[in-house]
Amino acid sequence: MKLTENTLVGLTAVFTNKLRSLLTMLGIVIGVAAVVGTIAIGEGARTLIMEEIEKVGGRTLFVVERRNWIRKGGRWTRNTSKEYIKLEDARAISALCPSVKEVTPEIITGGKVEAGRESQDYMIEATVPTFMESQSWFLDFGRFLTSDDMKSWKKICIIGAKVWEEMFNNINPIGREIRVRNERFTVVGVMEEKGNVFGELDRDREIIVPLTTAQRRFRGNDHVELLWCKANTFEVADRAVLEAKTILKRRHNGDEFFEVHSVKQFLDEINKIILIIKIMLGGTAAIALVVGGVGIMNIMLVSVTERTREIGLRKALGAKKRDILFQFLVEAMILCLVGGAVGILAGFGLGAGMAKIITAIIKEADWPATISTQSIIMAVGVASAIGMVFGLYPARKAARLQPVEALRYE
Amino acid sequence: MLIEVENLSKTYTMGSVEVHALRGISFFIEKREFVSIMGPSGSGKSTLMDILGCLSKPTSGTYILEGLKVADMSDNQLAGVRNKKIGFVFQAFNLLPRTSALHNVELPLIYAGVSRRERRRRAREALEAVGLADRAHHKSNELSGGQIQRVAIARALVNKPSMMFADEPTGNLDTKSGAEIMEIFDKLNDEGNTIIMVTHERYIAEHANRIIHLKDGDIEDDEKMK
Repeated sequence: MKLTENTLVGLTAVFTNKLRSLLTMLGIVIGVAAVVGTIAIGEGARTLIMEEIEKVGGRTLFVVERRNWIRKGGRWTRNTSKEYIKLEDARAISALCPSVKEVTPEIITGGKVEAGRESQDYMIEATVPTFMESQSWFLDFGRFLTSDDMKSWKKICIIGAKVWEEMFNNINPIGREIRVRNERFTVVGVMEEKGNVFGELDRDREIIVPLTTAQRRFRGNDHVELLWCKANTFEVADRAVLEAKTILKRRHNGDEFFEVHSVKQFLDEINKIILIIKIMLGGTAAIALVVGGVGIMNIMLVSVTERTREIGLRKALGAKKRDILFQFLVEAMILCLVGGAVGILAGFGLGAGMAKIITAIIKEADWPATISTQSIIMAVGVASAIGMVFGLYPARKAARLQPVEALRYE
Repeated sequence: MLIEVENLSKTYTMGSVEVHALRGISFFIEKREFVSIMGPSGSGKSTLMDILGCLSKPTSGTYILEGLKVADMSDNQLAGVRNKKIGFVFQAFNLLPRTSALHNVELPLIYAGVSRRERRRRAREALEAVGLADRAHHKSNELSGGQIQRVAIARALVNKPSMMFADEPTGNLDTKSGAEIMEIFDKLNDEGNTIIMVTHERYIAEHANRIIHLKDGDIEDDEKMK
């Protein structure tokens, strides 16, 4: 018998008992919605993290900084190494590591900033001209650092959007003087608004000064605190880290006084955690699906008993075992697939709703509900598998009925 | 020879009791015959009908249908035989509920794998033959008892079987509708169809040209009419 005929018979059976079919589908709907919804939340976490990572320079980023603590003989001790990261290290890494695209050295500090009668504490980032590119954070107006600023330790600064607002009331600040940690600086530019990164680092309340100026005026040495490095591609990120480490060690007598944090390592860790969350949520949802499947089996058994005489009649008219098996399997599959389709739609809603609730609770970021094709394919696959597995037993029972007994069934 | 039955017996076990529904009966049925099987309830006529209709297998003895030994056939082969060689008309529950007359008539053709267009054509023809062309799209619950039996006859005919089995086809009908049904059977037999009918009403049985009387699982009498 042809597939289309079995499908029609199955559809008819589903539509003849509308209420019963709906109630049966409900189990599958809830199960699939739970799977799709919870996975959407898990995926949302990933999307959120990726967005934050893009704000600090993307997936290829890694940071080199001096270690504060070193593990020696099973104990953590303060790093007493005489070695420090220098500006020359940044140039060397940039020149000698084939997988590294660029290196931006930086010193991060803070201090009192005064302009006229206004006075406030701000974060101070001392860096080099490549900073804008490396952080994907650009000027609103004015100019950025130049190599000339670097060479002659110029006392100029570029201010964040909030600094501009709070210090100058949004009046043109270019050429105006401000005092940064009691040193006079001239404002030459204003950065565009950037917002919070990871909910902590408020880049709009920052002042950017030349690295060399900070070394000379604030620190009194030629040390660099950290290096923002970027690999050529995400794929070579691990290799880029290795190359940078090798160069640094070579330049500092083999001393491993520094440590490297790469976004890729972080993402690998995050992915592991998200996977665990997804497995836990998905597992709970899978239980709901199994319960739905048992509901399907239950109803299909009722359906087979109710239609024993129909089965007998069909067999008398020439239906083979496989025809009957197919007819009931198709019926179960239709219930599951329609339930699955509705469940996917409900899952969208569930995911979006949960994302709203999470956003309301954490308050810091807009938690997205990311629906992936992967989760849809999985939900549909699971729904049809449940139709097959839980429909098979009742369908076999129907197929094995002896025609005479089925016909004479009262 | 259409049907050769030799020493056919059927034994059921009901709980711990063995019931001998058929006790080694033998007979032949030729093509184009109209045979009635009569007997009181418990005489084994339904059991005989089930075996002849390939709905169940005998406990012992041989049943040869158009030269084929039924005992040797698999379930699937039997389904094929029921589909192509046999047309059934039952006493009750003949049609699928909530399904159109046309679709009911199409059922054997669906299982035979006939194309949709061809199925429609043949099903309409068969309904015309029983005078129900105008009821083709009525659901089975919108038809009268007589009409239901006529749809069942149309369905039995639609695959052009070697023989038709009717199990108390008028059992649930009033006299007038019963007479109409029997008229159709007479006509079909005149056109060359082999009909085997189970009944317990003498005046229905007499439409046949031969009556096999069963009693306690044995042939009591094989009566030739006309």
